[in-house]
Amino acid sequence: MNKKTPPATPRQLDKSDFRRLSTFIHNTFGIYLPDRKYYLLQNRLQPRLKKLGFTSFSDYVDYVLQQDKKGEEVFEMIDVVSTNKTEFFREKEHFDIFQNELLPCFYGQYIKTWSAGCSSGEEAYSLSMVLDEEKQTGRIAGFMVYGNDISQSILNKAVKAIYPFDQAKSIPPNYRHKYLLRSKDKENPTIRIVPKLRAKTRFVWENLVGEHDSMPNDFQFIFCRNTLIYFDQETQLRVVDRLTKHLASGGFLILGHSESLVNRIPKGLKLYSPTIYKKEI
Amino acid sequence: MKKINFRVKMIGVMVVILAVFLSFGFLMKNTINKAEKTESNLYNGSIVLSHQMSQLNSSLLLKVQIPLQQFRTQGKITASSGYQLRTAMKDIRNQLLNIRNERTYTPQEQALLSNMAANLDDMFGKAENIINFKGDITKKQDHLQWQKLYDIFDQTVQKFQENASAFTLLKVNNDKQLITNIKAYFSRIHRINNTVLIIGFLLILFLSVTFIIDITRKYKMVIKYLVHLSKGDLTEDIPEIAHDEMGWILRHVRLLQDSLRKITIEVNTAVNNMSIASHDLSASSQNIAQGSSEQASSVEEISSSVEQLASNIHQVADNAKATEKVVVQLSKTTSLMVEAARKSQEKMDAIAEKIGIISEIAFQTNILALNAAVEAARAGEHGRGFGVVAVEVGKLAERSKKASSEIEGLIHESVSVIEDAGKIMLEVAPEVDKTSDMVKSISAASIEQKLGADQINDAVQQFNEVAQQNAAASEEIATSAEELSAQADRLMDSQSFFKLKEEDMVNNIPGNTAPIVKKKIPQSVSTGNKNNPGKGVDIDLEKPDDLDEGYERF
Repeated sequence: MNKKTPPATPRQLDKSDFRRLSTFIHNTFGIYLPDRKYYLLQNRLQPRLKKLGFTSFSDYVDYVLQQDKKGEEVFEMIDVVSTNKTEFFREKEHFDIFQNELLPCFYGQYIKTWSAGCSSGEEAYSLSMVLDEEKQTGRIAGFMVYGNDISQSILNKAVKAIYPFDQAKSIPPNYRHKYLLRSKDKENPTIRIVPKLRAKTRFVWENLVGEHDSMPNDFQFIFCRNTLIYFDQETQLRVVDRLTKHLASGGFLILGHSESLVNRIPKGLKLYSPTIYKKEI
Repeated sequence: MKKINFRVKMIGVMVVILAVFLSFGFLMKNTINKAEKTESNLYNGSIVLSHQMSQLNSSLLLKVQIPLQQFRTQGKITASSGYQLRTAMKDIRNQLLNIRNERTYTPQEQALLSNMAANLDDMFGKAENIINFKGDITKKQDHLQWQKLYDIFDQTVQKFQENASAFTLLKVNNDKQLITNIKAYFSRIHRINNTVLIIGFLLILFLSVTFIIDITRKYKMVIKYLVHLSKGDLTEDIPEIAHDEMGWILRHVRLLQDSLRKITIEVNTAVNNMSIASHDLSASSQNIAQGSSEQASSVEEISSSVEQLASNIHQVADNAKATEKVVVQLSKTTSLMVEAARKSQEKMDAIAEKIGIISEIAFQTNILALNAAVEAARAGEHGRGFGVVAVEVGKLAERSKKASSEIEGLIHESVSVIEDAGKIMLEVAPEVDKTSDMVKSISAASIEQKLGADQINDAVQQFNEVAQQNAAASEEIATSAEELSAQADRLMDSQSFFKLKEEDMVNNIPGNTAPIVKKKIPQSVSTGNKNNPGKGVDIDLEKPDDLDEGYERF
């Protein structure tokens, strides 16, 4: 009658285990988890423990740490630990400035844009929509949007480009008809990005804090919004430096609305307008 | 028959068998008794009697006939011999009396025995005549009489012997009859015995078979229903079979079945409700878990943003504070500058005055140089050198004058510039003060903002923590609910062991409440080599894939 039924009591994450793991995550992925993120970590790791059959966090942390930076579980772990929150045309002002102010600087060119820390790809596809619109009017020669993230599962979502129907609300109506498909299944309605845009969007599994760096070096635009907030200050600057290297001269780095580089704008960048930085020519 | 239980039946059967055996035993005992009596009669009346009869005959022969025959020739009997004879005869008579009294005889035998006794009396009467004979056998008449007495005696003897042998014959015949009787008794005993055996055997066989058939039938029934029960089959009603022990067992099996039915119906209803409820619970708690997980993600993002924002505001506040200091300094500097401008105007005026003196001196020096040149010319050859000096001095005076007038011009310009500067300074000073005040208020505001942001940040962090806890809790609840619904399903499975009649079934049959199927999007895209995670992996999305078939234009 009953087969397994392990007790439903939650496994408790020990403070010392929490510190071991948060240090590892910080060193490997840059994500900063101070003590108050204790519940976050405990909460997000529960399903992994359950799935792997670990009864204590201590064992699980040992298991992850012993794999070092290349183990499969390390990536499964970061999949659940990283926060993936995004939507289409999030922080709309940036898109308006992008289309009306920044993009005109590069009219006639082939535009490469990077959505750094793209999560499930909404930002990348939003940019693709804007760029495709501009390409159709002939103002730009063409475009390619890149996206990267450390979570494989979230990248899978990005690649599939299937989203809950509600998300369509934040997409401007004229774009919806052009760039969205809707599911025939009405009970569980979803939307999907049209193949044309999917073909123009490329997702790469890359860690902004990791050693490997395969992105091109001539982006006119890098959107890195609401990614830096998960890093500590030192890591934030390292990542900004890295992104700056990938910008073409005169290219723009667009950060999240709360991610000001007040008082610490790195060399080679200058403030163009709040949260928008331009690489010096 | 149905109302009699096995115990009573058993006792009844025992009683019947016992009665049969007892009655047959009694019959047998009776027969055996008779046989025994007959046998003892036979012994007494045949063997003992024949011995007594032969004794009687031999006594008669040896003690009466033979002595009498010895006396026949003598013609007289002595007194003592006569006495002996009489004693012998008395003895013989007693012997016969004994024979007659010792046992019972058939009337025929009685008759013969009375004849024998009469014969014996007659014989002994004749013998008495012989004993009492007083004649003389030498006399012819007496001799004849003697002989005649003997002849009569012999005749009585003969009669006695005839009766005795008739008696013996009769007795033998009768004994033969007795033996026949004994044989009859024995055959009767055999018969009874056989009958008892056969009847007993048949009875026991019959009762046993009946019993076994009865018990087997009921036992099979009980087993059948018990097997039904053991298989959880509650569909068939258990009948009332009898009032015996098997019936009693079956009745209780039926009670058990009734209870099981009631319980099963109740449990089925409960389990069914529980299953539906737990599936609902599982579905909604999964929704909640998903919702709170998304919420937790949102809150996590907000919290990270707010934290960043707070840190930015700190920076701004620090900057504002630094700016405030600078502006205060500037304001002080501005008033100092106004004062400085005023002072420098005064100094300039003083310088202009002094320059006038220098100009005056240059003028006079020039005149003196001219005079000196005139005097040098007068002095002639000796004054030539002096004349050169005078000319040079004159040139110097000229240059001094030019310089001083240039300086004068510059001073005039400076004075006007300083005046302008002073004026501007005077105009700017209040603005600077105003700026200073504004910067102070900005600084104050940003400090307040900083405090506010800290407060918001703290609150958001707390909120975040709670949201994470809630997400964790709702995840736990969802898992528990899932487990619960799985258990309900398992319980339902277990419960389906009991099969009920159609009309007892719960409307919502367990299988009908379809468990929530989680839709899984096929993992069509591989992100590549996990063993080499350092490498970025390019994901190609050029072509429309199969999933597009499920979509249409928006």
